[in-house]
This record gives sequence, structure tokens and C-alpha cells, in this order.
Amino acid sequence: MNTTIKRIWTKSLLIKYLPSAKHRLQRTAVGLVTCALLWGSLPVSASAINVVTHHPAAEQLARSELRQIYTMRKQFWPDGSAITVLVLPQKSDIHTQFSRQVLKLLPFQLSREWDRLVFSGTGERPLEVSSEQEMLEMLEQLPNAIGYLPAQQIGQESDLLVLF
Amino acid sequence: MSGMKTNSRVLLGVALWGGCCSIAHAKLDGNLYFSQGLAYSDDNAFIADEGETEAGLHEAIANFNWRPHARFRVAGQGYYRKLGNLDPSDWNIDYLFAEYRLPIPKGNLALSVGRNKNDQGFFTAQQDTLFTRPGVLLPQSVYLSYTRDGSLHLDGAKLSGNHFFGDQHFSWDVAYGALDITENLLRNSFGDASADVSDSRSFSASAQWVYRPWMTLKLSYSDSKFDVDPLIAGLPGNSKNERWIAGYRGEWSHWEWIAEYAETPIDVSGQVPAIVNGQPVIVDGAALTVPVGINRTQQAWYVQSNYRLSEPVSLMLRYGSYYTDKDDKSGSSFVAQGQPAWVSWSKIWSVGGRWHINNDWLLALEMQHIDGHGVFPVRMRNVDGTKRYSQLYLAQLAYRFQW
Repeated sequence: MNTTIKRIWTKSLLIKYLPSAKHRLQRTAVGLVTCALLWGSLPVSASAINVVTHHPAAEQLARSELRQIYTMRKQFWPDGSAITVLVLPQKSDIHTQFSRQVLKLLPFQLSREWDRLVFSGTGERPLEVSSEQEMLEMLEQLPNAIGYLPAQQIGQESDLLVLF
Repeated sequence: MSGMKTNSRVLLGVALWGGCCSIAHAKLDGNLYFSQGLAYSDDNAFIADEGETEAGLHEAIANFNWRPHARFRVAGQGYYRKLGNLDPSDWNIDYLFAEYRLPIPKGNLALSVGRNKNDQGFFTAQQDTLFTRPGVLLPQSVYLSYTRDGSLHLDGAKLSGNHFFGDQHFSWDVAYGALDITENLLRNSFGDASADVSDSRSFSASAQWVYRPWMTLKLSYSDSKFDVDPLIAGLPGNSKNERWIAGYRGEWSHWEWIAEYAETPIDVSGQVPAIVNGQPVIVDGAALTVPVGINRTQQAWYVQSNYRLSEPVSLMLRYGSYYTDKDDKSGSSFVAQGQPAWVSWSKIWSVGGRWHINNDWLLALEMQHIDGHGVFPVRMRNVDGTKRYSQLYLAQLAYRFQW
């Protein structure tokens, strides 16, 4: 037992006081892996995100159907009108929250689904708007569009359907 | 190659037809993609020469998607690619088509005409970018790199459908058209890149059922043929092959599992001059020929597991198996030709990791331990300096830009 402790102690001393290139490389690698692990777990501000649309068929929308819409598989409303899917930029905190809280998907999983469609030509990605204000304007203008916004962003007087 | 000229005219027609449909409020977007890789081969000559580091692994892709009308879409993609000594630098049109989609109760149908991606298995249509592949390389057992060009796309028509039943999504497609037989495919498959190809055609179909993230099943089938002149001994021949792929994919919590099984019956037939006592046999002033050919079924499968350490970082472990002839797993036909049995199979362990540095940058590392040379092109099997057991080390950095 003492021998084992001595070996560990000796090894620690060697790493501490003899920082050879190999040891520096080891520590750099550990640092990089730690950074990578922490990268995706940084907190984002939490507030309720609502799915918003004008289309009356959305009143019956289940979460699984919303996921089918946002993975761009379901392309039409039940009345045959084409769904216009709106998203905020992928680096937006609102988008991250929507993906995690409402769709129950990690943002990169959603992005991977769009990549599969786009690089195979079998589908297309959603229409990206630059800001929450533009999202609201597009939703007001396009009756077949669906999007998402923080609860406080949707005015009391708005006639948009608010879901989830 | 007259077939290629015909294909070009069809693609040009598709582009012009799309141009005539221009209306206001069109949706137009696209992507650019670049990647740079490194490979080191230890005891094999696949991608990099044995014992060498190869930096000639490049990919560049540009695509566009234009929807001038809710029912119509025109999309196209071009790529430039080099994969070490396996795939010389070349560019090509990957897809270019016009699509019409039609809503139906609980789903939609779509018809697209032009060059369509071949949607066989989970990755045939997804193999061009690191963002959509499961690793630096596709699972080599099922998706042979050296025959890649022959399965990429079809010049013809594709009919597809999506159907929704609550949580369930059923999708399917059928396609018919001409294969795009490239010089690279001819070099890797038959050893002669200058051969003429004619009468190429292929039928393909696939069906996929998705029930929540933990259950996706897919079945694909294709039947292809083309004539080659010359195939062997200066005489023409033809190549026919079918392909079945059955697959499962599922995600639970931090885990993702993918498994696919494939069988590929191959029938390559040609003629060689009849030789008796070292002399060609002449009948009525013409050399007599006798039929020769290869008729066998390749068998392949793999199981892959990904574990997500954190949102941007995941680890991968994969095992794959490939037999050139499922009815001769001991490789006796190769031994009879003076080759070692292990050139007829490959059993591959792969470990790797992926780091989504941010939404646009992705870094992937991979190491493969390979038993046998079955997944290598014939010109790379059992060459000087290579051994039965070998390693392949790969790294790739990819970037994409969306507009």
C-alpha cells in the first residue's frame, strides 16, 4: 500500500516539477476536453417560449406533430396549404430554449435534420428571420406560417394562436 | 460517353425549366461547405500510401434551393472532392432537379425530374459532408468508398411520399434513371478508366418508418446495370447488381444506435478469346470467344453506437463486417488464384469522436483497426508493404456557411 502511495506521490511530483513537452501536451489535452465538455452546458436565460401561428388547424397540434413540422417532414396543413416554418438564428438563446423546452430536441439534433435534407436535396431548411420583431411581423403577414416567441413578446391584442 | 452528353442536356433542360417558373416572393437559400482532412495508413495503402501521412483529403460543396411557388422547387448541388489516393480531385453535379409536391390527406406526394440523390440506406444520400456522416468515413463495410460514385445519384425521375399517423411517419420513394458512371468508378472497379459505358439504368426504392426518436426502420432496394467496352481482354461485357439494405436507428437519452445489413448480388459477365495449346481458336475467320464472369453476393453489416458526453462532444464505437462472397467466407476462391484468403473480407473496429466547435465548425477524429483487405479497391489489396491487420488514422475539420 505504502509503495503504491509512494509511486503516486512520486508521479505527482514529476508532473509538477518536470513539465516536459509530453506533460504539457497532456495538460493541454485535458484542458481542451474540459472546455469542450463545458461548452454545451453553459446556462441560457429561462423564460416561457410559445409556439405562434394564425392557422386554425394548429389548435389540435400535438408535440410530435410540431416536431414533424420543425424537422421539415410535415409540409402541409390539413387544408392543403403549405406550412411556412420560421426560425430565429441558431445562435439565438430563444432558438435554443425553443428546441430544448418545446421540441425536446437539442439544437444540434434539429440542425442535423435540416443538414440531412439540404445536402441530399430531399428537403429544405426553415425560413430564418433575423430577430423576434421580424418573426412577429412575418407571423402577422403569413397566415400559413408557424414560429415561436417569448411569451412577453406576444401582445394582448394579437389575434395569433398561442400554443404550448 | 454519349450517355453523359444526354445527361447534361437533361440537366440543362431542368435548369431552364426552373428559370421559366420565376415569380415574385421566391424563397432562395443555399449552403457552402468545406472540409480538410488528414490520414495516416499503417500497414495498408488505403487513402494514404503505407506508412505515409496524406493531406489530400478535401471536400467543397455549394448548393441552392429555390422555391418560386408553394408547390414547385428547384434545387442543385455541385461538389469538389479528393480522398487521398482513392479518389482523385474532381468536381461533379450531385443533384439538380425540379420538384412538384402535392398535398394529400395526412401527408404529401412529390415528383422530381432531373438528377436526384439516391436515397439508399441511411447514408447514401448523406455521405457528402462531415455534418451528415456518422464519422470521418462512412461505415466501409456497407458503404464501400471505391464504388461510391455508382450509387450517388440517378438521372431520371423520382416519386416520393410522406404519410403521418399520429407519432408515426412513413416515407417512401421510387426512382428510375441512368447511372452516372464516372472514370473514378471504372478505375476502382475494373482498372480501366477509359472504357466506354452505355445503356446504364437503375431502379431504386426505399421505405422508412419513424416512431419517436428511438425507432427508425428503413429498407432499401436497387437494381442497376450498364455495359462496358472493353471490360476484359479488349472485349465488351456488362455489369449487373442488386442491393438490399435494412437498417435500424434509435436515440435514447445520451445514446444513439445505428445498425445496417446489406446484401449485394453482383453479376459481371464478358468474353475472352478461346485458347487451345497456347493458340487462339479461329472459326470462320473470327476468333472464338468463351464467356467469363463473376457471380457472387457481397454481404455486409455494421453496428455503431454514439455516446454524447455533452451537447457538442460525442464518442463513437463501430464494428463492421464485409465478405466479398457470402457463400465463400473462407476466401477459398481467392486462395485458388494465389492470393491470401483475407483479401476477400474486412472486419473493422472504429473508434472516434466529434466536437461541434460551434454551429458552423466540426472537428472529427477516427481510428480504424482493419482485418483483411476486402473493402479496398483491387489495386490496393495485398500490395507491397501491406499486412492482413492494419490501422487507419483520420482527422477532419469541416466548415459550413448558410445564406
